[in-house]
Amino acid sequence: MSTVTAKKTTNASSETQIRELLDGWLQAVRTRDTKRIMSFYAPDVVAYDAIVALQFKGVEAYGKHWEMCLSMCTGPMIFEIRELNIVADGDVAFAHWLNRCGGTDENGVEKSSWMRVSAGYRRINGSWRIVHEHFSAPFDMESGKALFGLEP
Amino acid sequence: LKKERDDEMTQGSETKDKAEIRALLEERIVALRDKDADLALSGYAADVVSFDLAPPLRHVGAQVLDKAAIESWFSTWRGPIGWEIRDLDIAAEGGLAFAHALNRMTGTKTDGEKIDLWVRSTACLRRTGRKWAIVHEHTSVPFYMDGSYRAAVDLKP
Repeated sequence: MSTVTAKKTTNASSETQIRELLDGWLQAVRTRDTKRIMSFYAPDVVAYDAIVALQFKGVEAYGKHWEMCLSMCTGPMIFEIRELNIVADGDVAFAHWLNRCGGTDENGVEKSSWMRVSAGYRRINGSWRIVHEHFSAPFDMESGKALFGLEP
Repeated sequence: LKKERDDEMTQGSETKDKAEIRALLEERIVALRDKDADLALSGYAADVVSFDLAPPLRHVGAQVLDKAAIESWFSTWRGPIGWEIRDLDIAAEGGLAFAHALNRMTGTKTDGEKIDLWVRSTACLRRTGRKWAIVHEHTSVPFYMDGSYRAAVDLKP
């Protein structure tokens, strides 16, 4: 009984820690702080991003990609999440959510779209790190074009 | 010595989990080859949340476990559907795991169109008792930022 209680407490605190990591990551993106954004990833992260390439391997390659992505979003950043689900056990965790991404153009008009995100985490030397990340938009099977106007 | 034995046991157990998850993910190779809708759906939890290639943004539970929809999709293909798994990486501990891989879907549609498509897949799993089940799945292709916003269906690893 006490073991079960202890285990539940551990998982609850792991989930809280993942939530804190996620909040820090969101804040880093909103402030366009690439160095801080990259501090949340494991050195050997494997990322499937929404644009350009099938995958990015390693924090250096993914960091360059993040910089390119941030340079495409002008004005104040839009980066908010919804439908968040976190599951953690021991030193492994995963989460998924919907993520509104975008910026604001020179006329003050918001340009954004909803993406889907999945992430895998491992606790490495006592600190949680993102070891896998997957961003995407669905596409229209007829036109073959990505769908940016979808709402949750 | 005790510590070494514990490490070995932990590693042995992790390997067993990973082997079970790999086997579950490889069932799709058979399910698509044989167009077996029951097998294609057997690995999912009842409350699975799926982010798929086609809209909407999010498919949940019964929207994913729709046997008629899978069979209808199977009927748009001539002959077997190929499904290859490459660069599969699995992290598992206790009752949960996540895995990611590049997958190649190949075959011929009934209208004669040849399909050879690489997609990225992420699967998150939980174990209830002895059985692993997929509680979250994310399948996608990236899109081009060349102004066309075309889905990148021609990329190769």
